[in-house]
Amino acid sequence: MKTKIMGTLAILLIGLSVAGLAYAHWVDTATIKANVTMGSLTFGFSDIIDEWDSEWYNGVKAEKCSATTHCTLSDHVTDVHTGLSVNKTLTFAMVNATPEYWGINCFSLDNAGTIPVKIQNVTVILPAGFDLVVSIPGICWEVYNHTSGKWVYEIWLYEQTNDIAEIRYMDSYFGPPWYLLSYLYGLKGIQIHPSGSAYAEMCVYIPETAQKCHTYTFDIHIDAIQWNLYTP
Amino acid sequence: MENKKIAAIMLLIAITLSAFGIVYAHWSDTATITGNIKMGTLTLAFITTEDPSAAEYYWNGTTWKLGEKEGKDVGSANAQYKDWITDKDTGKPGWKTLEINMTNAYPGYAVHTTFRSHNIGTVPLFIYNVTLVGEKKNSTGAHIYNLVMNTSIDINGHIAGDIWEDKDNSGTVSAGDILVMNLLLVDTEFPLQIEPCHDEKMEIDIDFKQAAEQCHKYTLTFSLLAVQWDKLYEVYP
Repeated sequence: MKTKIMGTLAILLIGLSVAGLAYAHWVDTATIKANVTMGSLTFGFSDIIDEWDSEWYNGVKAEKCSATTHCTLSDHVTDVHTGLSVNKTLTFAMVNATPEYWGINCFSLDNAGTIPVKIQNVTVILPAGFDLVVSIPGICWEVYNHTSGKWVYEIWLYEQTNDIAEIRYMDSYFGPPWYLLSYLYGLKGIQIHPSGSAYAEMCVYIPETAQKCHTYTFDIHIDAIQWNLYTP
Repeated sequence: MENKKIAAIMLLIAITLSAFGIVYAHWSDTATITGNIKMGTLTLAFITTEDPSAAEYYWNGTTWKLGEKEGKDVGSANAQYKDWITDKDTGKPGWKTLEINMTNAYPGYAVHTTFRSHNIGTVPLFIYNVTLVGEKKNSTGAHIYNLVMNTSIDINGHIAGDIWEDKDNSGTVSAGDILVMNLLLVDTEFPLQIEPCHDEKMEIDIDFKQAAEQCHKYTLTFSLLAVQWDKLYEVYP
């Protein structure tokens, strides 16, 4: 009996030593640490530069002015990284408009983030009952009443490439954009660097065929994308 | 009479003792085997004679180009070695940690870091894999997710990894996790053998995917795994 126990122990010992020989190995590691701080992309509006309309002439508003164009900014956001703020929404309000009236607003497009952006898309969205016709790609859109087929208003959106101080001084001398067709550029592709701004103008024109006592609404989405993923 | 008996007994004892002495007395000597075993060392480190370098690259649609798109300087990256060690056996020095810092990173941003791995021990080794421990934090430093990685050997023999935010905290890549980075550990081939006193130039490439979140911080600790050359089969398929 004693011999059997001793034999079993000996087999166990040999087995463990063989297993140890088979699985033992030295290992070592070297470490690579990577610390990544992501940037930010925050795009919006920060400034209404100026606004004027067809009732201005040589820097003076007509005495019998009936219509007004006025813009406001809302939906304030602050970039966590930079602490810079922009507004996500610009509301363009035209009141008491009459045929042949046009109003222009000049505003800034701002990059409050840390990486450059480019404007990728400008999309005009209309409520039901209206049709959109692109008049000049990326610059001018005509809006028609779907039922009557009448042309009811026209939207212009383009880059303002003039010096901004000049705009502030000269705004009321500027005519509507169709006087400057050769010099108009759409917003797509505009690049804005971090903490930088670009400037744009929006003009709404009311044709003779617009209907009285109606309210027209539209949305324009301006999509900015990080510059390195921009698609021309 | 009594005295004669005592003398006879003492004589008998003396004869008996002398007889035993003859039987057991002998000359003896020994020869000694002394075993001195000096074990080797297996120490993987980064080389001390050349600094690592981090370079930015961008994809121009067909190939990787040096720098950032349109020549901009948006992100920044640097690399340095840390944690000085000395192999106890060879006395050779090395760095144990390579630290790469990337700031203002964005989707599409790519950093290639070149470094040299050095075998400062006495035993040949194989670098056979890389593992990751990492986490994602928000801008206030609060923990959001751990990071997990899948690795494979690509067609060029490099270690390719996908780095994911572990949304379900399962510890492995699973459905619903978010792919945020790609990794490529580049050398001639893996497993990579380095002889004692030899070094090997390597490269670790990291690029960022669309889902990498703005204003967040990612901390990644990669471990380059090495094993003694003759035991590779125990750890590597």
